[in-house]
Amino acid sequence: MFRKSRTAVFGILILAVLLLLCIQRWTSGVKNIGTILLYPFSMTASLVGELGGAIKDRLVFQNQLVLENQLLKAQSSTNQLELLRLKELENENARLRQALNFQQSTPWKLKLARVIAREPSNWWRMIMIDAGSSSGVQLNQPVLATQGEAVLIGRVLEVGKWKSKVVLMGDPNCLVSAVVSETRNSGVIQPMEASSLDPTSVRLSYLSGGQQPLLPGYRVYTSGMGSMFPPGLYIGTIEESVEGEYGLHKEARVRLAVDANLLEEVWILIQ
Amino acid sequence: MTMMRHKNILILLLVCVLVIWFQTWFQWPHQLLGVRLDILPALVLYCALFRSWRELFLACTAGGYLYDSFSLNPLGVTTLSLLLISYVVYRYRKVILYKAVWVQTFLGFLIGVLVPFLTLLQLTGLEVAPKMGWSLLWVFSVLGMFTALASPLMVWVMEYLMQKYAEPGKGLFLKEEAKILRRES
Repeated sequence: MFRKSRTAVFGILILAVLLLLCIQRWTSGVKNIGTILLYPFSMTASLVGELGGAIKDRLVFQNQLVLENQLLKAQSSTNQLELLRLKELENENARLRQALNFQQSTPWKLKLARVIAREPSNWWRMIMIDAGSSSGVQLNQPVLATQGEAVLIGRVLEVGKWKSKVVLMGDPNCLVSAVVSETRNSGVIQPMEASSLDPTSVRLSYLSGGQQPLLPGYRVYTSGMGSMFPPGLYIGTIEESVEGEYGLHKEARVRLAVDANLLEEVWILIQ
Repeated sequence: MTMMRHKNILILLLVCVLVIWFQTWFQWPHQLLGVRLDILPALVLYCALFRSWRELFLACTAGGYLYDSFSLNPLGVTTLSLLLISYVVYRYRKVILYKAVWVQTFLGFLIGVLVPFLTLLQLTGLEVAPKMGWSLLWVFSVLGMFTALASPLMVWVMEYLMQKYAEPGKGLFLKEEAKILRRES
């Protein structure tokens, strides 16, 4: 009995499928009704699926983002370091190019040296350079910097085999005979008081004769007297002039052309 | 024990070299304040308060020697100033609250002013001496305040280094205190 009914159902189903296959063009409406009926469910399922997928994607993406972020940060800091290095190289290149031009344009024999240390105390003005007697450096040789022209910054005070100490203008150990370019008044460059907070300020004292006033901006050069420094090395500009002690002579405050504390390379005038 | 002492000495020498290198290389404190800061007095104060007299003398001698080598000072001027002042602190450290931060700060200020003052006094006897001026007041003030701030920091750093590398497990005690603590325990 059961077997008979099963065969009947199977036969009906086969017939129904064959019938449906035969009448396809009329079944589209029925299919549409079915899809419309199932639309809310399928939409919900799709949304849930999308949401799940999105959540999964988001979670994976966040992980990736964190990784990517770390990578980018690392890359950024590497790039920044590289940029700093390149900037430093660019500056050095510019300085050395300027130095090379300077060396070719001067009649003297010069030796380039790097500053390797600076005076640690507050009473003296000194720098240490990486050139010594092995490079031809000798005692009392003038030390220069470049600023379009040769600028005197000091003289060699102590010479070692590979390093030397340079005493800078503004130190009591470095007195320079100077002349004012515009008025030809000559005097001596002397330090201001010890530990003056302004390292580029010095005194031009014992100024010789001449009734012409010393105006701010007048240029001061080495006079060549004393034979330690050749004449014509630029020193700085006059800021103001005052009467010296007891009114016996004039004095002027001079602004040095270069702050030697900021220099990284200097030139030693060998010959 | 000998090895430990050697390590102490090595650490002290290393710190001396680093301190001097810092002072001779970095210019930004000078550009910022117009004063070259001096860390050596803070190191010497630490030695005077916490170390043996041998280590104190070593710090004064090595530090002063290096300092004067890099400076136009005649050799020994700084060593003498450091020794004179630090020895007074060392002599009386048992009767002061040497562990208190405010004491270290106060002593730091004193030593920060007195060391350069004594050095300058010695320099006035030279043939070519620095010229004095009112700006020295600013210099001494900044040096004093800097050493006052740097001293407790130096104590902390040096104790960390000593305990980590030279004397693991040893506390911050003088011999006398250690004896009392042992007796009590």
